[in-house]
Amino acid sequence: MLRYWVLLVLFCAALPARAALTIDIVGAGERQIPVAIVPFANEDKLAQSITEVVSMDLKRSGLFRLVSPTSKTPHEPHEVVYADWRGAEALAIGSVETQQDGRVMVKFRLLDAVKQTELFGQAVTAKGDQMRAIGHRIADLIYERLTGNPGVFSTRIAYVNRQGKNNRLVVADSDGYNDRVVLSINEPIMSPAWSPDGSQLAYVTLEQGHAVVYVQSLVTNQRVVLSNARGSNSAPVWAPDGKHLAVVLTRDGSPQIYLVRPDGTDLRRLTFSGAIDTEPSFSPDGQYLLFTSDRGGSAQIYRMPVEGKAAERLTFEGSNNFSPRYSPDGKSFVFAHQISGRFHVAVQDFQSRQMQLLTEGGWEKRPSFSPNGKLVLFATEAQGRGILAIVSSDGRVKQRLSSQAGEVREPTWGPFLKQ
Amino acid sequence: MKNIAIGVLLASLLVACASDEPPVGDLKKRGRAAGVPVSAAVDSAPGASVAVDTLSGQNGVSQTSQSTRASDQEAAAAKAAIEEAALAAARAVEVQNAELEAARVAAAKAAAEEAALAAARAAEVQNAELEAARVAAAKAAAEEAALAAARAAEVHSAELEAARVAAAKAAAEEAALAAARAAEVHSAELEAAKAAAAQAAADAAAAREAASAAAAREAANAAKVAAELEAAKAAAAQAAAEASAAREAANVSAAREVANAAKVAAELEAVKASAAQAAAEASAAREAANVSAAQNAAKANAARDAAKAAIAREVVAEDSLGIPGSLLAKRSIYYPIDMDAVPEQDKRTVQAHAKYLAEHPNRLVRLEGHADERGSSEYNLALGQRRADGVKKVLLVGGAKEGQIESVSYGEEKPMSTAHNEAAWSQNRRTDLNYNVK
Repeated sequence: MLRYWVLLVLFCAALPARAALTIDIVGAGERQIPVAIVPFANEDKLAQSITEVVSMDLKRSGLFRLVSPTSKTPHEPHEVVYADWRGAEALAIGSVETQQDGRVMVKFRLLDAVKQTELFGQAVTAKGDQMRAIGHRIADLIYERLTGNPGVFSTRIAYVNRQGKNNRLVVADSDGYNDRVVLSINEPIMSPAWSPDGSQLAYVTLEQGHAVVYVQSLVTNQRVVLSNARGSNSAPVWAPDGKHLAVVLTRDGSPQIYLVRPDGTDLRRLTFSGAIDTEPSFSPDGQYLLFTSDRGGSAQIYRMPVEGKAAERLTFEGSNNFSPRYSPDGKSFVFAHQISGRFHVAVQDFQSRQMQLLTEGGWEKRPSFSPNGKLVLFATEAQGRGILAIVSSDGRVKQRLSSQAGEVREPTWGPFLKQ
Repeated sequence: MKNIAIGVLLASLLVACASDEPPVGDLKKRGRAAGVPVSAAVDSAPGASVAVDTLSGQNGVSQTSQSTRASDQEAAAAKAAIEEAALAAARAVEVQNAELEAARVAAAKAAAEEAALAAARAAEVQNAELEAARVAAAKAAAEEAALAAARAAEVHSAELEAARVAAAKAAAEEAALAAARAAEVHSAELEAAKAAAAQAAADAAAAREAASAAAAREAANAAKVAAELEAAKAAAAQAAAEASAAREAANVSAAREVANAAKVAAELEAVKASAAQAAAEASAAREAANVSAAQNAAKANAARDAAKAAIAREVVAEDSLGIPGSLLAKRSIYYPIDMDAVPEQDKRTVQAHAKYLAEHPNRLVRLEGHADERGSSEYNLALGQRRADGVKKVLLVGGAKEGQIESVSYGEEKPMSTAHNEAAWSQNRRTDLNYNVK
């Protein structure tokens, strides 16, 4: 397959917003939609260019080819001469206006450059420091209109940044910008998990000398202990309705999966294998759990109804398979596939039971789907350092997000934000 | 497919026999007494004429021997009733077949999973042995296991053939019986047939449960047995037991026997598959082990020598934690890949710590399990906990008290060595006994 560098490195220093992660992109979609993003009127007066964010988002997806703006910069539909934009299928134009109270009004239109019609238009008013968010939102609208799938540029990711002993739990936009430290301690942090509404994170730390599960609000920053039984408390994951979490506890012996309410009450044991059962993942309808178990002698992926009953083994290839996560449509799952000492990101279809490797293999762990199911975020390594990477669910487009300092690990992609 | 064919055969036999065969009372007794092909069963059925005499007075069913005493209309009605009964019986048998098919599939699946588990466990155990520098012996064992499995499969094949013959024979008997049974029109017999079908279904469910219970037991055993040879033998023994169970079942019900024959065939396939997989995994393990054999042998020897030296010194030092070179001075237990049980060579060390804790009830120890970085962080946290808990069990058995011990896991999060190679990983697969707790 022909792979080429579409883009090299973003020079963060030149940008007003600081990104903890820098992005490299490799590969391209099968068909790239040519789009022109015309710089918005008065945009140069803002601290952050909106169309720069939009362009970068669309490029990153691998599904779009950006047609360079001509010398002409129309901002209103009547200013557009379609003959100038023959190479593009769609054309984004707009303007910004800073109001007296300091807020910024952004007007934006997407035009069909072939049919020469307006696809849609929107006007949004926001604070001056919200321009990246506005850019992501516009990119999401363009993506959805032109591909038929919702965009994920406005969604967030969580990961752990480790520098020496220091561990920081970080939440950032999906492009690595706008990062915010949720927790910073000198003990390992593991297994961050988003609540379905994106307002809370569950995670595990070793700060009490053993693994304890916490739930922390991203709104108030308050955190509570979810489970602190003897032994290890680990691998939290939220049920789709947000009313329960599945956790892995050793309180009764071997690591087994339990259900618990977000306030720590109503604990109920789900597996009874006597082996290791861990890494639960709820199906989108909340009816099933995927999990990793070594009950068959090696670590493999199983599925069971949440109401209990028999578990069914799903993976048979490779030496071990770990870290299953359901796709948002529930039709497949992504996981880490270990073979010949290498770890690959793989997806398997429930119906056909066919496994597909998405990556060439290396030190790749903990994959999770973007909420539209089109991308997979995972941890990997480059030059001996832990970094994050994103691969499209067809394996064609790859992005690497490297940290400026320390290792990046334990990533997980957050949900769609309710608008 | 087989079941459908048998159903059709059975139904046609029922119709054929219904027109000239009188009803009988005890089908099972009669089936055993006959034990011969269909026509012979019809001719030689003991008590048949008695039954005919008894029943003909009530409903005039038998047309060949009683035709002079029945009107044509009655005969036609009776025949229609007979055919209906035959169909009902055939349907009952089909339902039973379907249920048995389900039971067979479940049993075959359980057997296949169990076999895969046994093979995987065996491969792991072998891997451990290889790490103890017994590559040559393990190689021989693996080859012998493969041969034994192949032999078991052959033996099993012969037994299966015998079971098939018995099944076919019993099928013929039961078909004759079922045909005779179908000739009995009155509802009491149909009720009995339904009850028999229900009983058979219950039997099938019981058999399924027994099979899964046996599979669970077998899984536990397989974990304990130390060699692939053992696993192959167990699988062969299980298969033989099931073949004999199939023969036993042949005496009870033909339809059931046919289903069981199919089940045995499936299980034979599972055994074959497990043998093939065991051979493949054994060879893979052998190859992997060959690479690091010399290194492992040296390491194992050094460990053994050190352990021996420590044992020699233990006499002097066993009541003190501080004396260097004693068993108690050894505070880390190391593990082969993905294993969580205390290795044999370290049992004496852990037992020495157990004795110490029993003699010093005020001392506390914290068991800190670790795993290498391969696998997911969650899985490795679980694995480290299993390692620490495995040491805890040995300490408790050796006289330490629950309140003296805390077991925790650090998973892959706190490696002793951060390199991506076996030298580092073998350092990181360990449980530390930490007495420096309050």
